[in-house]
Order: sequence, then structure tokens, then C-alpha cells
Amino acid sequence: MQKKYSWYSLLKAGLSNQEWDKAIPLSKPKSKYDVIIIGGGGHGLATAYYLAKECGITNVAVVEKGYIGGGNTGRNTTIIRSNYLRDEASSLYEHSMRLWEGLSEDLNFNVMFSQRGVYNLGHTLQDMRDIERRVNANVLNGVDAVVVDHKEIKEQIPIINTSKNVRYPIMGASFQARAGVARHDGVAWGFARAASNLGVDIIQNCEVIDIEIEEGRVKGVKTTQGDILADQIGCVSAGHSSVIAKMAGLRLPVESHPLQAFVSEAMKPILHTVVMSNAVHGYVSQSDKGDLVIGAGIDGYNSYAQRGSAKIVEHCAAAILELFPIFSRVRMNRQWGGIVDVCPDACPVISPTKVEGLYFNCGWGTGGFKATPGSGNVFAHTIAQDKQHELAVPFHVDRFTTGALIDEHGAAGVAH
Amino acid sequence: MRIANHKSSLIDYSKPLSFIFNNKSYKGYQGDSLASALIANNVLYFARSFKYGRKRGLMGAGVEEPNALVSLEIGGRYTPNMKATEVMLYDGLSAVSSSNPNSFDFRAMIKPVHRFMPAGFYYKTFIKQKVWSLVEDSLRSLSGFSKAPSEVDEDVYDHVFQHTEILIVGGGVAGITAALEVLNHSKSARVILVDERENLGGELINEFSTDESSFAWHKDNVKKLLKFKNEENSRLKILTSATAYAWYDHNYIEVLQTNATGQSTLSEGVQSARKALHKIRAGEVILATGAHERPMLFETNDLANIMLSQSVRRYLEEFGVISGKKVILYGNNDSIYSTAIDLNNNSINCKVIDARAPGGESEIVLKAKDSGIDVLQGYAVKKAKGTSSITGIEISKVELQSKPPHWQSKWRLNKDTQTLECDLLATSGGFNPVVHLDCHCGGKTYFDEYSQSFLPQKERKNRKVCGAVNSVGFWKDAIVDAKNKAQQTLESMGEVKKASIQPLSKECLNYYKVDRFFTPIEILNKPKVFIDMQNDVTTLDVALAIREGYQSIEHIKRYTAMGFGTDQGKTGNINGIAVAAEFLDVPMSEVGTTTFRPAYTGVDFGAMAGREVGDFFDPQRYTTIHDSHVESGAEFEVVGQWYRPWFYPKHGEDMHQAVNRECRAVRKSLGMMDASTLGKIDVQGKDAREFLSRVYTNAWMKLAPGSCRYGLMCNEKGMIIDDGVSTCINDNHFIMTTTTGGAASVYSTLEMWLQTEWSDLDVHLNSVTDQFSTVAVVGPNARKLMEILCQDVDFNKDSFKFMQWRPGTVCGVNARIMRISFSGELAYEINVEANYGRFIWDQVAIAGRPWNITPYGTESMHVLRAEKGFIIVGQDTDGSMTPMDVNMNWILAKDKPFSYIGRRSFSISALNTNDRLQLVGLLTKDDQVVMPEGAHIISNKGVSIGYVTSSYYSPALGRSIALAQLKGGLSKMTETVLVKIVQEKQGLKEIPCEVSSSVFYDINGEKVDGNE
Amino acid sequence: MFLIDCPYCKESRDQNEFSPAGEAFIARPQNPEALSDEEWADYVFYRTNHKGDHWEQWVHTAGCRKYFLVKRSTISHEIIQVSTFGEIDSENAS
Repeated sequence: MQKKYSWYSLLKAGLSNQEWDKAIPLSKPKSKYDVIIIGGGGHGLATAYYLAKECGITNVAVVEKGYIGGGNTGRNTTIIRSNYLRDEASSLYEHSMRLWEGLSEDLNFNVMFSQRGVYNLGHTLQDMRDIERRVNANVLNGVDAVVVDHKEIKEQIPIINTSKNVRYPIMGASFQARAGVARHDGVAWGFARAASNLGVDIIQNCEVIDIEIEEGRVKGVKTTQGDILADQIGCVSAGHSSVIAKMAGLRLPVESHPLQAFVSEAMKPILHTVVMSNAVHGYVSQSDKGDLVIGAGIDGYNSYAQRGSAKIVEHCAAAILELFPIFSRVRMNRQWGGIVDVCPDACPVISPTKVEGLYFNCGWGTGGFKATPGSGNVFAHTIAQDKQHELAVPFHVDRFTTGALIDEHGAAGVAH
Repeated sequence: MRIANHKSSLIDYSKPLSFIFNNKSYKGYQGDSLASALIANNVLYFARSFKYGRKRGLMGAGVEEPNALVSLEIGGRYTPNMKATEVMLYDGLSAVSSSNPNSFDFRAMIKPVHRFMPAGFYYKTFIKQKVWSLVEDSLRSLSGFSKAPSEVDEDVYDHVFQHTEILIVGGGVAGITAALEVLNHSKSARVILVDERENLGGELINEFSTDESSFAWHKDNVKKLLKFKNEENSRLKILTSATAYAWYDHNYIEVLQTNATGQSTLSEGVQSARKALHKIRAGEVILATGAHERPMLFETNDLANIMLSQSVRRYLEEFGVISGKKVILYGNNDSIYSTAIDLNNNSINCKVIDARAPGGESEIVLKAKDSGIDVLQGYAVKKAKGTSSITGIEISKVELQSKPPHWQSKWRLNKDTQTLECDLLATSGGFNPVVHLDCHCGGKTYFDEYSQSFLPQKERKNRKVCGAVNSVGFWKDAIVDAKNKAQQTLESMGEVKKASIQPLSKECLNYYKVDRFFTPIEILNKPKVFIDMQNDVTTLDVALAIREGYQSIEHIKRYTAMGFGTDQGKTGNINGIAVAAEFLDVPMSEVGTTTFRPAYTGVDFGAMAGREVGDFFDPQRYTTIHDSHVESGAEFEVVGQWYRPWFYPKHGEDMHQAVNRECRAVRKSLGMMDASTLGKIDVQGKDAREFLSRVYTNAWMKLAPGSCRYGLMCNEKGMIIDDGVSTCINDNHFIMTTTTGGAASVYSTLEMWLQTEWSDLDVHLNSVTDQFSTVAVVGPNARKLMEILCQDVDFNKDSFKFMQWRPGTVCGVNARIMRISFSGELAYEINVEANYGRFIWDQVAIAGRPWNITPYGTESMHVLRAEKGFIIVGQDTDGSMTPMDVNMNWILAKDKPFSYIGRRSFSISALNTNDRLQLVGLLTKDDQVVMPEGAHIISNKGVSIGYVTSSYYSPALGRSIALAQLKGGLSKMTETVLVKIVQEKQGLKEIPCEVSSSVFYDINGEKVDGNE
Repeated sequence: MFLIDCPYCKESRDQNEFSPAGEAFIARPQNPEALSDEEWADYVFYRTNHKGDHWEQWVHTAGCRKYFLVKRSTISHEIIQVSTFGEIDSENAS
């Protein structure tokens, strides 16, 4: 058992120069596991953690081709919210939200979940209709949400530009108070530490190069660290899901696109909440360190390179200045991209496949971080029971055949 | 202090400048940086560090500076987080430390607690969510550098698009040479030369006082460059004060240039840009980006007046200032001797501590010794002494371990220490080539044992490296290297047949030679050995991260925050990698670097956005009739990029009153509407009918010329994406109308089908939205008005029927008149060439006065169409509704030979269940209650079973009406459902409604022919 | 930011002028009604999403408005080949 993190342990370590345990033990693969999780991002590590904690399956390995949390987990803008439109989606994200609310304690690792609220701005009449529809749906589903007008927005965020004389004036917003942000790396590390504490092996620098299938059932994986046998395999490899699927002879309804984000240089606190606007294409919050964390849009082309186009980022900067003109002389410090796997209906796939014992958790698109604990939780149960978790049922990959899509794009265009 | 009688070539001593720093006035000169001017004024402390609030002085002289962060000016020109080293002085400049070193600081006060705050301590505490939410804001208030701006920027920014055959990044000796070599040997190649400093020359300027030939070379070659630049049809652009900060795919490089004054200037009413963002597409790139020096590591190495050796030299040579009187130079390579010689020449007391053992000295070492400089070889600095600034150092003799552990340093320190006094310590631990730009877009680095640094990969397509970034440090060799690379570039372009290549000198190989990274473990295990000054990351933080299992360099970076600062770890990161290698007991090459990401240096958001802010953020589309709407006092609604009249309030009417008036006018007499924003696509070719049949759900083969037809468009998922009326001009010519917001996407989708799938169809499309203006004349008196306006068309209801069109002349203007209706009333849409739009609008308004013709906007249009149950795609549908869901099975052709777009999906199972959301009408039991759009219909269990898509008060019916999506709604006619209002402020909780047909008014369609 | 050779305009132009238009060689089935639901779903939703050299469609939106084919590495973003429809189809594409 690892030492528990607390004030007491910090104090003791500080006084005695005592060493901390390894938070992330560096494991070498065993020859066989009950379950192998491909992908050591937040979702994969969470899956392993909940397999061990809630399903009693501890003979689990997480295999990661690079370092844990090195993909989209460490590249996103860390927004957490559950105010989704469709019942199926909001149930899943709300499940996640509830796990977030106890996550630091559960993991004994401060993931710095900060419920500073999220505003989704509306700039047109149709935006406001959509916001009303979504907020009403949220409330009926037990998700906290309110509609606020531009005056209330100005009161809460004095630096935002609510002038009527701009290209897309802010008409109002939905606000979810329980929403917020978290420390992205900490989420991966917290899950990894807690999972390994329960006996999970976390194997880094271990790339899966093939999936072994015998008579329609998974047998194991070939990796850069050798062959590993497994009864069940859960694939949680985000942008690389299609690559893994191909190894198993499968196709997926996802495409990989670059998604970019950037941060400013750190400043004293000025923005205390999270502001998102689909209409002008940008979202922004300020981290505890002081930098503005800004998310841009995706590029339309497919890519496995973790970089996108300058125009996307520059348009996003312009969008942020529409909302916050005072940020004009603030400087971008760093910019980066991730690879997101996007489903046609903007909802994930949490599903068994035609190959027995092989499961996929993918297609989270631009919104996966907020779902990390919930996704891992329902996926763990799906693997453990070999039956979809109740909340995962609507996210079966077969929905693309039956037509039972969960279209989160919702009213995408105003068209009269 | 400023050195008396120093003849700096860059300072203009005839131009004194005044400035203010932390509320005190100082003097400097033209040519000073803020940092050099403050050194001249003996200012030692510039700011405080991020985590521990330690007082810090300058470490560097350029963009590598981690400590000296200040904000500039106030109000609309307030700029946070500037490095004092990157700010060129101007008269009246006002700067404030990002965190005042001279005032009370909470972080510094809690110094005894610092030992309990190692890297990542916050992950281990405040674990309870409630506790964290209580303390987080207090922790937040401690972080960040400068305050954020509070006012809108007064300045503007430009984007400049540049194209060049060759881009040379770096205007030092290598960059200048490469530029001239290209220009001399090619007759056509264009060159852009970029440098971040104000003057070309880079580090060569530091050589001027000791090596006269360097001065002559610089003068001569800059002159040659200027000659090329000033030629007619010049092929050379020189961008100074310009930083290449990002490299994107296909040699697309972004350069941020600050103008001479650092602000916008107004000249003849035109505001020039504060900064210009050059977007450069280069055929070939030659990188001559140089190298940053890295410091040596020892205990309390962050005291003020511990600087980089080259920076001390630059302050001395370029600016004629120095921040100490008793200087010690310390390092593991020859470069410290250059600084020592310069100091000595300026009669500044200095001493050299060389970590390398005696023996095998190069020329410059001997030269330094000869000139009488005190040199101590084979000693290392263990610790800097002093409270906030340096007063001395402790040194020990270096001993070789006979059997060093495999990868760890072979050095050990003797236990005996000596103390030396000094007030300035200048160190050099070697050089980090500036590989950042090269790595933004896929370039890799490799570890070079000789220089103990990461160099850019040797070969890369369309890119060469030369000079210090290529580890060629000595300036004369940099010239050779640059010529060689320019030649190779020209060869690859076919500009020269064979590149002429000269060998590098022998001294060259010595210049960047650095002994194995000097990091004896005794030092690394001490507290307060800072790697990243800005974020207060120490060697022990790295050790802790590694012990805890954060062993990838990316994990170390993220766990300790090393390199996350505004300096992006330019001086610290390579040391951090070396320290990690030491603790991990692996070679540095195995540790590797973190990923280099744009921006190399900070880029103002304003510069990123350029002019695309405010009015230019997004195009604003107006119809040609727009001015009339403005004159009429219309309120506007933004639809896509269009501004459409929303309603036309009169005499203090609110929207409700205006809409009631407008609707009544249309139903009772006559209204007019600007319908020009609807998308219009001209469809021509002999297969036009077939094409329409494929993209619309209904039949088109028999639509006669002179007729119009409504069509519904689906995507392959079977979902409605657009609707509109198409007009048959003749058998080979149709005009399709689309929704306003959907026009662009429909047009490109149609083109895609034609070009990628149906290239055998003879069909040509053209977007003609902007080419036509459309004035809709609507109401029972419409025919009477049309008969006045247009004499050459027979408007008799039996000869010009509903859903027909006629060519005609309206007020002398050629027009296509469509008899179509979105309100159920008799209506004509007059389409004219766009430029006649306003004219026709005015003529209609004048001629319509007898019937009190009333212009109406989108809101009334919505009410009128809702009364008739006409859907608005995007409002009543949301991308997940099939034609069956909106009760439009009638529009699905059964017998078209071609399986039109979307048809196949209609048969999949989920599109045929009973509980799909279906479009119905809702009538509130209390007929005066207008439900909010977006309110949900709930089941008796309180679960959502649908929602209100459109809801209005209908003046014609004297009651409210609503459209809604309701699960299985089409089989629930006349049932009572509850609409739940969840927003408390709207008072009502649940509103009972009756499910009805979505057609509320004129159910039998009797109004469409209007009054006789 | 790609530099794309438009095979119609015969010029290299900035990516800003173009729009990506999805994976290439996804032919609309000749007889959709004859397909099983799985086959239809494969056409509508499933993609190869290839990692490596990948044929895709682009359209010269702010230029000639023509759709054309691009073979591009989804790893390095290097454009290997451009082609008009007709020059290349799923049969002879490599």
C-alpha cells in the first residue's frame, strides 16, 4: 500500500526529507492479464481503476505507447460540464460530474476540480431558443442549469463585452454552476496511482502493434515489449482508435482531426469562470497558474499529427477578442494540437464489437476530458459484465446501423 | 553602471531619454533596452519569482530572460509580462515590476514553509473537495505575473502575406552571409531576412572591440545588404525587430514584427499597426537562429547579479553598461574567456573560474592568461553567497572519480572550500542551439556529445541550418558554414549547378566544445539549485519527480512546471534534461527533449487576430434594400451573416405590438417583405430535372415551365437539411431557393454530388443569391397592387395560378414574379436584378399606400408561417428530424427510379419507431398564454417527451399557438399534455395544452387566392 | 497551413482558399435499396481514417470551386499527389 497523501504526510516528508512512494510504478508486462486496456490516457486509466475498484478485476494492464496522459488528456482545455442536450448524453456526463465531485477524495489525489461554473453564450435568437431547450432538458434530468440574460452575465463577468454594437452581441447564456475545470495531468496521474495501488500494471513506452484474434475472440496483443495474453481487451486510444480497430479487422465510424488550443502568459486572476461560445468559436478560462486557457476549433481534414492550421488559432484569438477586447495586448505563450476522434453524431462509442472480448471506447471528439471518470466507470462495468453498462447502452456502435443516433449537434443551423 | 567613455556602436549618447520604473524616474539613452538602462542606473532587483516570491535580478540580455518581467504603460496601452530585456527604451516609458521586489510579499514571507512545498505538493493536499474549493481562490490570488489589462487596446495590428523563394531566420553573421550568398549567386530568388533584434549583427557586435576585422566585416556586409534592399525591384526584404515564432506545414512561417515606436502611430488619418504579423510562405528556409547560453548550476544560483556570461558581454559591448565592479566568470567552456578579455580591456576587475582541469588550453585561454587575468582552473562553484544579491562564492577543487557510475558525472568535489568575493558572477554552461522553430513542424533534434547540446536534425526537406544553431560558434566559421548552406540551397533550387563547399577551420571545432555536462551530484542534491528561475524549479524538484515515477521528460516538465514560463525554458530546459539524466543515470540523448511548440516568444492576441476584430470579425451581409429598413427604424436579426429586418416598431411600439400590427396588415390587407436573403441557386443543363429529383425527396420530372414547386432536401441520414421553392424557367433551367442560413452549405453539397458522383449529369450550378433582390408582396390585396405595378402580366387567379411564375416588367424593370406564399395569403415575390431592389421596394411601398401596405420582418413572418404550420428548418427541425417526423410523407416520391438522397435511410429501424419526436401543434388550454420556446413537454412521470419549437401569439386567431416536437405526437391528436416551465421567474409551473394539427389558420387553404 | 496545387487552376495556393471534403473513393452505392442496413451504414458513417498516405477530397472554395483528389500523409501532412476526378479512381489509386 502506498502512503496516503495528506497534510500530515506532507509535513512529515518535509521535516524528515523522507522519500515519497512512486506514484506511478514503472511496470514491465506480465505474460497474461485478465484485461488489457490499450491507451494510458485519462479514460484508459480510469477504466483500469474502476475495473479494480468496483469490479474486482485487478489483473489488469494499461499499455501506453508513450507516457501516460500524453495524448488528449494532457492537451485539452479541461472544461468539465454535464449540460448536454440529449437525455442519453446528459445522463452519461452527469454520471461523470458526480464522480468528479468526489474524485480527489476517492483517488486520494487532488485533481483540482474547480467548480467555477461554465457559461455557454448565445448570440442569436436561435442560439437562445437552443439554450432554453437545453437548460429545460437539463433541469428535467436533474442537471443544474439556468438561463441568464446579458445583464447577469455582465454582473458576473465584468470584463466581458456585452455591448449591442458588436458583430455578434451576447444575448444571454446557459450557466451551469457545478461545471468547471480540473488539472488535466493530475487526473491521469491520480487514476494511475490509485489503479496501481489496487494492483493494476501501468506499462509505458509499450506500443500495441497487433491484436491477436482466434476464432473470433481476442487472445492478446503484440507490443513493442513483447506479446501479452488477455481474456478481454478494452481499446481507449482516442485519435488512434481506427488504427487499433484495423488491427482487429474492424472499421469505426470515427475520423481523426487536429484540435488546437493555446495559453496566454500568466496574469493575476481576472476571469473567474469558464466562458464558451459556439457562435464566435472560442472558449476560455483562466487557470490557477494565471494563464488564459483557450480552446479553438477542429481542422476539417484528417490528421494524426498533433498540429493544425494557423488560421484556426488566429480566428479563435479574434473570437476571444470579440468577447474580451481587453485581452488584445495579452500574449499567447504556447500553442498545441491534439488528435480527436470524431463521431458523426458528436457522441462517443462505448461498445462491444464483433470480436468477442474486444471493446471500444472512442469517438469522444472534442469533449472527452469532462467524461473521464464516467467513461472509465461505465466502460469498466461493460468489460467486467461483458454487457453494456446501463448508461452506455445508447452508445453502442450499432446505432449507426439502426439509426438511433444521439445527435448532440442539435440545432446546428439557423435557416429561415 | 554606465561605463565611462565606452564607445558603443548602438547607443546614441546624444539622445538622452527619461523613463519611470516602479515609480522612480531614471535616465537612459536612445539604443538602450529597458534592462540596460536600469543596469546603468544600478537597479539590481527587477521582479519576484513565481512560487517562492524570491527577489530576482537580470540573468540574460534578450528573449531568454526568465526573471525581469514588467508591465508597460497604463490604460489602453498597458502591456503585461514584458521582459525588460526585450523592451527598447523610448522617452517617457513607464514600467512596473510584474511583482514588486521592494514591497512585502506573502510568498517570500512564508519562507519557512517552502520546504513543505516541493514540486507537486498541491496534488497531495487539499484533497477534500470542500477544502479545495475554499482555498483555491486564495492560492489563485498568489499566482500570475503582471495584472491583466483593464482597458481596450488603443492600437491596431496588421497581417502581411509574404512569398519568397528563401527565408533566412536570424540576422547575425550567418544570416547576413547566407542572404548575400543567395543574392549574389541567383538572379531571381527573392530573400526575406528576419531578425528579432533592432539591428543586424547578432552576437557579432560583441566582437567589435576585441576584433577590429569583425567590425569591418559587419559594416561592409550590412552595406552590401542595404544596396540589394534599396535596388529597384529589390529581391530582398529585411525584417528587423521581427521574430519568427511559429512554423506550420509546408514552410509557412509566421513572423511578428514590432514597429519602431512600439505603438500604433497616426499619420494622415491612417493608423499604422503596432505590430505586423507576417505570414511567410517560403520555398526554402535557412535557419541561422543562433544559440542561447545556459547557466552553470550551484546552490542559490538565483541571487541577483548572477548572469549569463554572454549577456554580461552583450551589456558591456552593445550598451556599455555593467552591473558589478568585481566580476567572477565561471564556466566549462571557452566563451567565458571572451567576456573576461572584454572586461579586462575595460579595466573591470575580473577573475575566471574554469571548471575544466588545466591542460590542452586553446588560444583564447592563453590569451586571457597573457593579458593578466587571474584564472583558476579545475574549480567549481558550490554556492553563491549573499541574501538577495551575490556577495561571493564558495568554490572547491574538482576531482575525477576513478570509476564513475555508468552515466553519471565523473566529477566530484573536494571537501575543502574557499570563499571568493564578488558582486557579479557570470556563468556559461555551454550553448543551446535555438532549434525551437525547426521543431514546430516535425523537425527532430539529436544529442551532440561534443557541444553537449541538442542540434537540429541534419537533413530536412527545403531547410538548412548554419552558424551557432548548427553548433558552429566562431564567427569566421559561421561565415563559411552559411556560405556552404546557401550554396547547397541554391543547388537544390537549380540556381547553381554544383554547390561550392569550403571547409571549416580547426578552431571552429573548439569553440562550442563543452566538457561533459558539469553537474556533480553533490551540488544537485542541495536545495535551492534553480533550473527554471521563473517557476522556481530546483534540482530537488526534478529528483522528487523522478523518485515518484514521473520519469518521462514530459512528466518531469508537467510535474515540476519546468519550462512552462514565459521564457519557455530557453536557459533552463537543457539543464533540466541534464539533471534528469543524472538522476536517472541515463545519457541525455535518452532523456530527450520536451516538444517544442509555438510560440518561440509571446504573440499578442491582437496581432493574431489582425484586423479581423470588431467590424471586420465576420462579414456583414446586407440586402440592397437594407438602407430603407434602417430608415424605417427596423430592429435587425442576425441570420447567418445576414442582417434581416426583425420587426419595424412604430411610435414606441414594443416587438409584440409591432408584430401584431404587421401580421394583421398581411392577413387583412397588404404587407411587404424583403426576401432577398434566401439562397438562390441557378441550376442549368439538360439533366437539371434529374438532378433536382435526386437531391429533393419529391418529383420534378413533370414540373412545367412557368411553375414552381416546394422541395424538401435530406442528407443521406434521412434527416431534413433544407427546404425551399424551385422555379422551372424552362426544361433546362431552374432556380432553386434555399434557406438563408443554409445557402452556402447546400450549394457546396450540391456541387459535391455533381462533381464527385454524378459527373455524367449535364448540370451546372451557380450561386445567384447576391444577383437578385426579392420583394414579397403579401396579403389579400396583393393582386390589386401587382396589377398597378406590372402591366404585361395577367394576374387573374385562373391564368396566373398559385405556384406559378411569370416574367414581367415591374415599374420598367425586368422581373420574375413568383406566386408563392409562406403565409397562406395571396402573395407574389418580385425578383429583380439586385441593383433594382431598393427601387422596386420603394415603388411597391408607394403604390401600396391605398392598402396601407406594411413592411414586416422575420418575426411576423414566423408568426404567419406558424399559423399555417409551415416549418422552419433549424428551428422546428434540428438535424434529427425526417420528413415523416414533420408529417410530410406527402412529399416523398414513391416511384422515382433514382434512390434520392436520404431515401435508403428512411427504412432503417430507428427511423420507424413509434416514439420518435414528431412535429405537432399545441394549443394552450388558456388561450392567452404564450409558452416559451424551448420549454419541454413532460410525461406523467415528469420526464421530457418533447419540446416547444415555435410559440407565438396569433393576432389572426386571437390566441396563442405553438409547434412542438412530441414523442409519438402524430398519434396523440387532441390529447392533453403538460408543458413544464422550469424557469421560476416565468411564474407558471405547468401549462396544459391540447395536441393539435400544426395547421392553425385557414386550414383548407382558402386564402391563397386573396380578394377578387 | 498547407500549400495545395489546384489541378484545375494549375497554381499552388494557400490552404485558406480550400476546404477539405472528406475521404476519397467512397462511391455512393448504385442501388441503395439492395444494400443491407450494415452495408448502408458503412457507406454513410464508416471511414478508413487511414494513418499514413491517404486519398481525400478537397474543394477550391475560394477559387475555381472544383472538387479534386489529394493524396496526403496524415502523419507528416506532406502532399504526395493531386489529381482531378477521372484521372484517378479507387481502382488505379495507389
